[in-house]
Amino acid sequence: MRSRCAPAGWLALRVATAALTLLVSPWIGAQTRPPLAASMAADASAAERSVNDWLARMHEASLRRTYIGTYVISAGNTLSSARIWHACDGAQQVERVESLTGAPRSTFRHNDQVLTFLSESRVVVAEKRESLAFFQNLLQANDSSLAQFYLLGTPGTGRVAGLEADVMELRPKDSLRFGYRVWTETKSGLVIKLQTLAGDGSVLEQAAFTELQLDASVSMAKLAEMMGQTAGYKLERPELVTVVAANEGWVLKSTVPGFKPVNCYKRSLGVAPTAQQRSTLQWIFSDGLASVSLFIDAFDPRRHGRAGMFASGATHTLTRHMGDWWLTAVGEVPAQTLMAFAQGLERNK
Amino acid sequence: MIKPGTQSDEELISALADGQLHGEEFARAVAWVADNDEARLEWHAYHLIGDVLRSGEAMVSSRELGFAQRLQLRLQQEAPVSSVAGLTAGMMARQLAASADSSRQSDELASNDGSARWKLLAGFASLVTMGLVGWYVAGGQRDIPQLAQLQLQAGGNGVLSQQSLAVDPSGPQPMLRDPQLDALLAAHRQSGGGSALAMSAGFVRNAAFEGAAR
Repeated sequence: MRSRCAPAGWLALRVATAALTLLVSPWIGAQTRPPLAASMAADASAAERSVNDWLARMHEASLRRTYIGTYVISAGNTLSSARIWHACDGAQQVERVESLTGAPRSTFRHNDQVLTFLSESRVVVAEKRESLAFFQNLLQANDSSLAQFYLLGTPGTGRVAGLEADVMELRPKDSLRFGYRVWTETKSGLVIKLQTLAGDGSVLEQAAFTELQLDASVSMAKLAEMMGQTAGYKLERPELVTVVAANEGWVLKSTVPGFKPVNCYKRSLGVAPTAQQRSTLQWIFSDGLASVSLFIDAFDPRRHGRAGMFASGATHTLTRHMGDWWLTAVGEVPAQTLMAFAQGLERNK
Repeated sequence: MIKPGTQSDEELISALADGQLHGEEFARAVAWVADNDEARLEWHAYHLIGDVLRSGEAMVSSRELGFAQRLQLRLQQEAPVSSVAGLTAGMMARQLAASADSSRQSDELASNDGSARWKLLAGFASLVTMGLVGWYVAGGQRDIPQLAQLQLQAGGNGVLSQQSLAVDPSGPQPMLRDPQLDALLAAHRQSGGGSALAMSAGFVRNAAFEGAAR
């Protein structure tokens, strides 16, 4: 059990986070408050919604409905599960995720700020999910690129965890991305089941609530308080420096249709005490629904031995030796998408 | 308390799929399914059945017919096992076709005649399980994108086309547990893995996945 007594370092962090939150709250509110189009999307019937209407509705639901539920994810040979507490006030979200499988682990998220408690190693990892802003901007801008690469199937209805759901299907227009079937709770638009589909329609990955209490009594303040109970834990922040890929000597000579650069970082990997620290470039791309990370390391024959393509559920991984460098491409995309990225990547220094 | 063995496997999977297990029972059942290949097949079969219950019969039956046809084609190409499994696939295709017809007719049954629908689904469950087992026995894999397709999409750039990717043409290999690769996968989920599809649900997915990976 974590003590409620916070160390001075953590208090400083909390104060800084609180100050930051206060400073950016109006901005966050402005960014996350549903635009007129999203509000209208909530009222539109399922048959009338566009791709962006559906997405805006799902996002709005996560800002307006509290819930407690159990989530099960089936991907490849892996079955994972977590218990979720979700609180929100229309602009802010606080979430607690307790893993029920694998190593004991509690993850807390306040908007894009994430703390992960690893109870076995007594480490708490603090991160910021900057990619959330990219997807928010995509919805705010009412970007039409999603409709350019995905086709909206005829909506249907179903039931998940005892709740009535609208079912919508997004079919890729080319073979560079997977399709999706999404169940959203009929009244709120909350995502309650999500399938990732291969080109032949088979299910590669499924995530669904097996049990869900909508509008459960979940206190944002209580979750925030739990998030601050870090006494006895060592706080770690992965070193993450935003960089420009071209300045680091990398260009994508031939782009992959639909995939835009989201972020590029230099990061040190291996937060565990025994792990050897090393700097890796991570160049992130997304088409709005699927993401690809290109990790580029200096080649080390002791660590980099096996080139190839690997798959687990919807996640594919490509590893490749490129002269003095070693590329690891990861994404929830078909194998050929990663191959296209690998072929387009070039060293310009 | 539920322990695999004291309750039938089917009952345990059914309870898990229906959200009837909680707390320690739930965690035990998930751990058991995660470690047991047959249990996972049952789990997938139950979700397929759930789709049948929740979806329109026509949509599902046509999909399963496609599955049966692909399975039969695959089994025909697998001479050593075709004599037994081919018969199974043929029976399955015919019975699924019959199921599809029966499903359409089931709408005409009296509303209190639930047993007919459940008998149909029970039969369907057996067929799906047989199909999945047959699929694994036959070593079935998904259609794998070919390199030729990639060359077309990459625009046939001369410099790039001379570089050969060390990728097994038979398709991706199963992901192996490797601490370095795990670290990169975790970094992808933390900083990269996101989707406008479900920003919150996507976060939960990643958080749960990371727990399983460690």
